[in-house]
Amino acid sequence: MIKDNIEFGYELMGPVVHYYLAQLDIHMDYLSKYHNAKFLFTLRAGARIKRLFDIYKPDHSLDWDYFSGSRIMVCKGIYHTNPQLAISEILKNFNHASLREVIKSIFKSEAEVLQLKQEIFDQPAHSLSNFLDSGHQIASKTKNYLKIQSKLFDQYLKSIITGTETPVIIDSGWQGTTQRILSLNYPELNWKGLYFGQYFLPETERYSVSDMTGLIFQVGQYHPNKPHTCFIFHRHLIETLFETNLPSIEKLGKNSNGLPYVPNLEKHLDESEVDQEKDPIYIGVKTYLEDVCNKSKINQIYSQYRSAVKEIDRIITLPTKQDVQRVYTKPRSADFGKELVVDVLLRPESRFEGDTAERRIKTALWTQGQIALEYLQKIAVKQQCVLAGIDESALNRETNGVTRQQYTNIRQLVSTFYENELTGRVAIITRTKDRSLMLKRAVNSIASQTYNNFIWVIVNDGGDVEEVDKIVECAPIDRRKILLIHNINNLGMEAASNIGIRNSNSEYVIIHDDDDTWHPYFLERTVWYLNSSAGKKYGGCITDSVYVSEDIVGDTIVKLGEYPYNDWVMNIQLIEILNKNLFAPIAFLYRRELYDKIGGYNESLPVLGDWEFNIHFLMEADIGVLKEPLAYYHHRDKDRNKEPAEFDDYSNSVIGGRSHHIEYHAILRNSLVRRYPQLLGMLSCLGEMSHSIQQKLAKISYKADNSKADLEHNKVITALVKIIDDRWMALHALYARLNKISKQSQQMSIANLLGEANNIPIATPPDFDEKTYLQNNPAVAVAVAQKKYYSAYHHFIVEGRHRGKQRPTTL
Amino acid sequence: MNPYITKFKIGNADNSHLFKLSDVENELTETENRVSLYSTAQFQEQCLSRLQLENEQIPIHLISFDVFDTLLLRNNKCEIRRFWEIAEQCAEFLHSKKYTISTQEIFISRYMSTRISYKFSKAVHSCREGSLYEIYETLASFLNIQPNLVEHLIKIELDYEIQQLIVNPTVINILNVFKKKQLAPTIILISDMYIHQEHIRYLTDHIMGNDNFFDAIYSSADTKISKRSGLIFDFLREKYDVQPQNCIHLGDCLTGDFSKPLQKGWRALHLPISNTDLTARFEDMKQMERFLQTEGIELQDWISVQF
Repeated sequence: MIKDNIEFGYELMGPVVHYYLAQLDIHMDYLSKYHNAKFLFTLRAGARIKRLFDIYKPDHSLDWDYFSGSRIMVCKGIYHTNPQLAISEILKNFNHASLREVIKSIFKSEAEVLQLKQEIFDQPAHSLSNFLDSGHQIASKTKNYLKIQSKLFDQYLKSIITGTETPVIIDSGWQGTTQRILSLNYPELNWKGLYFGQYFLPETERYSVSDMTGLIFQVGQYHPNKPHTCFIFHRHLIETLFETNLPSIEKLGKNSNGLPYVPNLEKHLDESEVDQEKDPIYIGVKTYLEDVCNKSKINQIYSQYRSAVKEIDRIITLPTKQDVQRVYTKPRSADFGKELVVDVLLRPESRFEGDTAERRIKTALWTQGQIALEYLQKIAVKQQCVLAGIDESALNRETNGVTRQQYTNIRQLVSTFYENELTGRVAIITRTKDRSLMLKRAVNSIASQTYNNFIWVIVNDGGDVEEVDKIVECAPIDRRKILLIHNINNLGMEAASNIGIRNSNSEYVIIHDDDDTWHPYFLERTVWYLNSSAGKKYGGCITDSVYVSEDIVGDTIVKLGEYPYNDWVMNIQLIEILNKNLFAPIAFLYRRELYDKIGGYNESLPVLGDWEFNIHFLMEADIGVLKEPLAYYHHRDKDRNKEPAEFDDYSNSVIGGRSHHIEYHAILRNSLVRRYPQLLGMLSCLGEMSHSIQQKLAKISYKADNSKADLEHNKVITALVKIIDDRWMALHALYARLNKISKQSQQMSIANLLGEANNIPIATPPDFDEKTYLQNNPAVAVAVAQKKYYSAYHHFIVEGRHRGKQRPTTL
Repeated sequence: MNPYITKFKIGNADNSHLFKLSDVENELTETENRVSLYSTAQFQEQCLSRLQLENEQIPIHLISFDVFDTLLLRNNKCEIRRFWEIAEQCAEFLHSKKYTISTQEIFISRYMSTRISYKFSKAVHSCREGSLYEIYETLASFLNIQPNLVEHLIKIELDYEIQQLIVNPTVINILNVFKKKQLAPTIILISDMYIHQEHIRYLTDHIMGNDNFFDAIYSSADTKISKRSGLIFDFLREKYDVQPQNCIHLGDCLTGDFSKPLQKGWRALHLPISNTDLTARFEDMKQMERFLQTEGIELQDWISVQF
């Protein structure tokens, strides 16, 4: 088996590492020349990378050093200057651990002398920050230890990066955590990183990605057409290839001169004897490089790499049992202070009662390899294909050259220029009338879409022509994709929609009213969904929506709040939509053929036309739900209590035309019953539904009676808190006034003091929970950050409490 | 007269008037032969009257042009073929200097160097751009070529470009009229490109003659801020002390030459590449893909540069 492993290292991994070293070489040369960079070969992987690089290029003259920069070391190293960052990074690695485990990991071998048996250490690890401030004896020891390590690390780092402003981390990969932490703690330096690969998890902060590069791959997921991305499935292959068999360096020592040193550094660097049992692949790679390095030219290196990586892709992604043996690697030793060794693959046998193949597959570090061990090859291949997103039926086809997917991408790029290319094209219909402020915002919403194959139809429904022309003229949208329609008279919303849709040509249709907006990914995601195999069965789809409450102040739209809108909707049922409309047009992309079948929007309805359309739509086809909040449904709803007649041009039909809505609810329902007698069956279902709801309500009201007393009690408390808040503000206002105009005689009352209090920095009362208030109101957090309010409390007393916002308390 | 001048009536419905906003843009998109279209007096007049009308509405104080596929028209060789042919000429030159470096080596190293230059060049306002100097210096160092030959390698690339480019007669017509009538005090070129302003000057001098049409040339290889970031438009407005509405930009790229200047308050005229040309470049790329396979090179490794 060892022979096979060495051969795998020599024949396949050797050419890949060779190409990686060539890439490393040209990158280092560039960074050295144009950035005066210093290269930090980061231990543990850095020792072997450097050794292999010396074989590749023995005569380089780069400015370099080894760097003891394991993640836990760096976290300890920055604790003194940035304790919050250090603790949060440490805790990311101790999700379900106890306080005891995290403290043990910080101290590692020195933890043995600590008394960690008390119950307090059973707390979850995330209490570390509070514990360190608790004054507990162990907390003080821990803080002291971290501070010492921080000082040593700072000295150590400065000693190895003298003379450069551009330190370059060289490591195996994957998310560049060390570089990210160091960039935050030492922002005066231009940190860069050269990695074998970079693999971005969905939740990874893409911080500083522009200064990192994965020399072999830099992706978020495996692509069947890009063989070099296969390493994502078996990152451990690369980790064990480069890592020595010594434990990770996780602390610095202090020598007799008080200077920092790296314990056991020589052991990491001395690998004169490599253990064949543990590192056969590394031996194969090293021998390959020794054999070919001084004979190869870059085109040969590249060509060998291409052939090798295709075969490695097959072995890693669709391995057989024999392949698994060939790629066998030593167990993975955990870093981050953990004393843990994890096998890459598990024996395909029960470990405990209830153990299953699926469990072992889920646990194994190399999933595809474990699948190969667990199942017969025929079954295994099916599972491996599903996991990798490979079309199994295409496995044996010729896949030379640019693949079909790539052609599709390129063709799409070209096809966006074809006026007659209808497949995938969206007609975006924007109805507007004398709302230039809103229309300008709609322009930006459409212009920022990442999906480009659309035609934008603006229907000016009897409004000012010049105003609309002016806005459309300045729109940063491809002119070839714009159709402008001016209705001579106002024809109504539904007629405007019909005119826009009937004068355009496309596969999909959506109404983007002038007052609503989209997330930039809206069209990309919805078109993708309706084109996907999952979406093919639907006539249209909606995304989740966000209800945006706003107001018009002069020439500015002021956002008052954002709330999820009907986010409980998981699917669209005809029976539910018969009861009430569940989504706004801005969230609904549909196939034009359904519009044609229905015959368009009902122009006789001044309001609720979209609801009626949706009901007819569901009589013909289903509507899919994409659970991503990509549509923004805007409402000028500040004055909810105004009479409808008082609403101006900027109110939307739901808020502004409330009495119309009530009237047409009945008209619409009646017309539906007349048009679809068979609907009576459904209505009986509705009756059933309402009966069941009534029953549930009856049960709830029993509980509500019991909690009535609590409610009364809460009312009293709320009133008292308001008085306290008023007095608190008045107190501060009084103080400010006395300071400013103490000589002036003023008539003082609580009311006029409160008015003054709005404009002065008032300290937050001890019981007010600033953090929770900001968390619950992200828009306020932004406003506070922009110094529009002194604090969350300031917003609460000036705005929030008048809008009915909750007053969070720390009590 | 309607002040908003690029609206063209295309029909009437019962109670509605329908308009398109593109005439020049559509003609360019649909033409079978872009060079012929740009050469016709009618199309030249059409473009000119769009600009003259713009000027009548709000005076133009600064007019800027994109360089490649706007002022200088490319043929339909895809970028990969151009780089391959340049690599062939570089290999031939190096052979004459006793180097045994193949076209394949130069082609691959050039792509590697280009990527690095784009990725790690020093940023200005978070914008980065490749640099032809950096590309050839890095390539030379990697292939152990004497640094003093870099200048000649760059000249090979520029001379190759001269052979591939022709001047756009419509833009020349606009330049002549604007110069003659002194319509815009400032005329400049702006390019988002890895070649530097002196290289662009070298190309225009050789292709157009030294007519001194331009007050300045700006390349993102020098400024780093670019049209695609939009920042170059702010920079130029400040530098020439003009209001954005008095500036107009012309170019083929929808984002960098049209959307971004509009977002920055400039006016813009989009001169897109025709569908025929795009298709021809795409077909050429497919041909190159098959050819490169025979050379052991996978196009998908370099596909990020499309045409």
